[in-house]
Amino acid sequence: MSKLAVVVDDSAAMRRIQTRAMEGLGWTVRAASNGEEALALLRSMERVDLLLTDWHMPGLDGLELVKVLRADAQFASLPILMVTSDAVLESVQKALEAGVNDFLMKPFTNEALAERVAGVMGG
Amino acid sequence: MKKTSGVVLSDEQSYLLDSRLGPVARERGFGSIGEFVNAAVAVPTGPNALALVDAMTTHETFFFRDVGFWKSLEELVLPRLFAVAGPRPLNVWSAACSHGQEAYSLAMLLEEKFPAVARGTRILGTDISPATVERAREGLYSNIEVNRGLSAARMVKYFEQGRGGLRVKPLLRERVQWQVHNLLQLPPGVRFDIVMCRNVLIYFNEADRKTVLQFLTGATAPGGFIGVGATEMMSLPSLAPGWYTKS
Repeated sequence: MSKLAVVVDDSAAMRRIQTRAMEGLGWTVRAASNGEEALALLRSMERVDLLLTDWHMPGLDGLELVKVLRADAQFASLPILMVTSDAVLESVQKALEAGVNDFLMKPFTNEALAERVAGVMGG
Repeated sequence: MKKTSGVVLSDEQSYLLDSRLGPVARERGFGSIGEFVNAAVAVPTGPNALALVDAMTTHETFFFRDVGFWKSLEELVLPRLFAVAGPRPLNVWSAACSHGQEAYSLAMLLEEKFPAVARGTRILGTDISPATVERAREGLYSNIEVNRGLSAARMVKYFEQGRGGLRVKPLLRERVQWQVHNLLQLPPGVRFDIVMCRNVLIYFNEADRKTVLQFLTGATAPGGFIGVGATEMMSLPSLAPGWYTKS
């Protein structure tokens, strides 16, 4: 049974890029275009193994999404990778404090994504 | 290139000549790649020759490159070094250090796992290219570079915001010294507990590789360790893939 990932990004192109990259690593991927949609999707899924989320999105942004998830016992230990162009150290710090497991800066290579995913999954 | 650094390019790599040397030739004020190459060849140890070598060799490296190598260092090599006289500061040489990620990775690992040893340990990073050594000394890395091999936790712990990227914090920068050094010349006159020289031996022909390996072995203290790339072999006892011990 392949692992299940949810990709959240308000850019359709970014969703496609990350979905293809993750599928290339053998994952099954579902996608959402904003925080609220992601929350609804996650809550509807029987199982999810990894969340990749953008930060800056309209409405519920990625950082707030992470905080909401970490406050929910169901998702307290869900591996979360923030994937964002907000590439300053202060943002990395804030993301870690919110509860992400790791942080990938855009633009990224497929190798970098694969490494980060392996890292958060304990590989 | 071979005269200056020992590096040999294969026929398959010749396509790199235009794409890599063109910009460098123009930057240095030459009218063509041919003129630039002639000037470099005329003085094999001069700045044009070094610029040519720098342009043609691949600097791709990243933090904690090859997870297995670093795991072996942490779980096998360092415990072996400390087994006899206990944890003690080390002398380590990161040969062909490129932009410094290997040396800084070692500094991070020691700081995390062996903090008492980290403070007194001396790390020397060397590379044939002065420009490369300067980049390593600066310790400033772009987002693309930081994305490889560095967890967010380590970014926050060991880096500070720099212009256009993240810079290694002074705490770690102070633990590494940098020098320009050609692997085909006599090594620094110090015996090292650990010598790391990864993914560069592949560029040398058989004879020069033998010379470099002899120099690396000579620079290693008895009981010390040499770390090379996973596919590079030495005729010393192997502790783990890529790690050899000088008994």
